[in-house]
Amino acid sequence: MYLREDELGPDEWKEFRRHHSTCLTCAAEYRKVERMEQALTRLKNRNPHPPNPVAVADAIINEIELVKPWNESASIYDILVQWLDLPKVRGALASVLTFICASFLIEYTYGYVHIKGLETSITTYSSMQSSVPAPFLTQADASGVVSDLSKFVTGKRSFFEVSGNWVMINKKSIEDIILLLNQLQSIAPQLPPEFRAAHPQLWKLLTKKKDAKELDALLKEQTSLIRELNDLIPQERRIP
Amino acid sequence: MEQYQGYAFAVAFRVLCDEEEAKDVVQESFIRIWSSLSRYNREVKFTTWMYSIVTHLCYDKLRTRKKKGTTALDAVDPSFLASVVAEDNPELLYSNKELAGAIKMLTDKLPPKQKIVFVLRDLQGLSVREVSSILRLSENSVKANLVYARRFLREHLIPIISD
Repeated sequence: MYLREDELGPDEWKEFRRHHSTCLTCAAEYRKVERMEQALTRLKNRNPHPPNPVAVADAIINEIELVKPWNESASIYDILVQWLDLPKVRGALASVLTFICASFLIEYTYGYVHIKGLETSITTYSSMQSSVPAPFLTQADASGVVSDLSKFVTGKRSFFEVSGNWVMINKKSIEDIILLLNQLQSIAPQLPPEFRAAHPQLWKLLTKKKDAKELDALLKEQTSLIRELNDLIPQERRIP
Repeated sequence: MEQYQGYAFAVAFRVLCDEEEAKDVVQESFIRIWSSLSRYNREVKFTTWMYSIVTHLCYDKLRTRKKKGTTALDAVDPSFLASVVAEDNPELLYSNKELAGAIKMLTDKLPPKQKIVFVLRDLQGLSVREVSSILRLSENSVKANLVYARRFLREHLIPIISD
């Protein structure tokens, strides 16, 4: 009853007409539907007044210009300026700049490891010190050794410059590395061949032959260095 | 473009019953049409494609409106609706606000899908096949939605026009 002739199949429509001619209830109901149909037809004929087409077209063109990723005739400079003018791009650039500045600030405030005797050789990205490096980190392969040693310890990571090379090592465990290096030096003869194969640079440094005078000087220097380091290291981690 | 703009506006206006929202939808629809012209399938009538975009945007607006519990217009006097649908003179002009009020009063309680099917078929005069193609529904589903919508409208409209 609620579907029109063109919405029903021919058989359905015939069936409906047959029933409609005999059923008074449905005929009365159908008259109501027809009245509704007439009312809806009148409503259908009342079209809304369309908005000013020129104003709508202008608004659409303006929006399209904003959405457009680039203008074919624009230069690269114009495209770049247009791109930078997008709020999302500006927001992203501001975020990246803030992140970089914050990283530098945090690194400068907290990342600088100040260890007496080593501050001349190990400089943070922020402090950028450069002068004569401390003895046992002046080797040509010192950065490799530090990297190698850093694998033995864990903690927060930071950037350090060792003998002109940038390495990423564990800043909290610089002390641990030095202590480890000293311990390894003392047990070098007992280290297994696998260790030598796995850490050739470290092995070379540990077993480097020194004459008695140089060794004495180094030991003396290292003893005072270790003493100073010990003062900086928590009690439980100090060398006995 | 003016002609298509008129079609798009009429559908959006009748579905949303709000002139400003309808304008926004027309604008957004044409931007979408422009940005996805490369994906336009030439085997489909342009108006079908355009109606599809317009009705989907209207559907989103209706759903958002439903979630927020907002309506576009205040309640309309039933006698005004009666006069709009009883008046046989097509020359008699009504303002968009009056028309929106009348359509809103009739269709506001319909679920979004039924409302769109009803507007496309009964107020825009599109065929069931076109409506089915625009809304990507089967013809039977379109007919079912039409039956529900018309039954609901008959129950609400007949008492008003009988008074």
